[in-house]
Amino acid sequence: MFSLIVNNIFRFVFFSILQVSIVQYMDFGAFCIPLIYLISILMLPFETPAVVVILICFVQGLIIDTFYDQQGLHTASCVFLGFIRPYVLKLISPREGYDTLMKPTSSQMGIAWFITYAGSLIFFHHLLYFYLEIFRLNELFSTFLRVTASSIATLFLIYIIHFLFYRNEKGLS
Amino acid sequence: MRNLIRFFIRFHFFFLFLILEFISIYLISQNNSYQSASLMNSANRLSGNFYAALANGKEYLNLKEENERLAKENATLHQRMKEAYAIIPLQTIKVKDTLFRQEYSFATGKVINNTTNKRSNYFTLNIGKNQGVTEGMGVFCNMGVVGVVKNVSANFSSCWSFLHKDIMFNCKLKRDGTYGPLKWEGDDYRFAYMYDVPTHARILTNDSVVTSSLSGLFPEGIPVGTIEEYKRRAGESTYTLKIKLSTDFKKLNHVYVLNSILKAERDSLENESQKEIK
Repeated sequence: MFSLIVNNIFRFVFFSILQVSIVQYMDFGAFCIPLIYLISILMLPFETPAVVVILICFVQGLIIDTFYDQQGLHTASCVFLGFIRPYVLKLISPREGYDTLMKPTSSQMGIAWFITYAGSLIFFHHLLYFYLEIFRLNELFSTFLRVTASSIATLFLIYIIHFLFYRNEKGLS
Repeated sequence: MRNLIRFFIRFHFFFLFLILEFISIYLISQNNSYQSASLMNSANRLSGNFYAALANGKEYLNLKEENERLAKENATLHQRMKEAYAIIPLQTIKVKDTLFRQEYSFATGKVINNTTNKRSNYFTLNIGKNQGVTEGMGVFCNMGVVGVVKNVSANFSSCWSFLHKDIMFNCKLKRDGTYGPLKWEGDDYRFAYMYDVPTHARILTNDSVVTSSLSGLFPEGIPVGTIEEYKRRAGESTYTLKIKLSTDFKKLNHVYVLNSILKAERDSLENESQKEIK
């Protein structure tokens, strides 16, 4: 239990630093802006209470906002992600429900499950983030292009990271 | 009453969500112009020092280019020195000038954090209130216009890059002084668009565009870019020019922060006359 909390805090700090020191400066063109810090929210265990998840999202958003100079934008979209996470989990749950020892990784839940789970949450987060950032109607379609391209990039990067870190976790550990 | 409490307990998750979301929307609404200071920004102690350490490490990677650029600038400055000029053997009359007064003063700073790939880009400088920087000052470098100061702390300041969705200022063609607002559209960091250029102006590609004194942010004549192409959109009575920006936003390092000494007076006068019209 204790090591689980330490693990999650470590992941939280590590990916926040990675986002603001490296990924922020990676240039894939003006329409592709990956936000990989979401992995620390996505990888929270199933049994984490929803209230705790939404508070973690709030803190995570505030930290990233401070470094991005975009007061409130990441916070709003992260809080929304924390709000829809339990509903998405319920919607795509396996027939026998979630085991308390399971983790939301592709090696335990399957690739299709992981892509659906991470992909939908990332998409909704990016949708809110980019539309709140631009906050006007005359760039409606270019913003949607930005949402789609960035979601795919984020999902791709998160899947690679997740593959590197959690590849060996076969079975229930 | 008991039912009300039970109702709140039952839907506590939803209410928590609403409260947190309202806080974030409030924070966003506090952050929509460069006159208002925001609570969280890259000028505070944690993020400012983090970015300063990061910039220290990164500086070694482009020392060579930076040296070349500074050497070039040194050469141009040497050309302007007194030693570079010979006295013209003609009778000239020297007058101690009392007609001109200083309108701008400059502070130099280093960019310690900068992005170009977002829709709204920011950069952070290693100078702040202690070095005389305040909100709303213009920032430029030897290549051209860079941005506007947004937040200031004791030793750092965080600024809006010109590559920001809400920045717009007046520019003019250097050749004949036709002016129009310049804006970045978020697609490519090398190009911006200049709007509302009248059709009777003669426009040539590769003509240079400079800042106009109408903006109030920059003095007249700081380079902005060159005209890449121009077209008249269907149904519009003016030209839209595509400008290739002279500033390479990927290579910002040393910049000048511009203190307009008469800006406060100008702004208050302009605001007053605006009120009178209303």
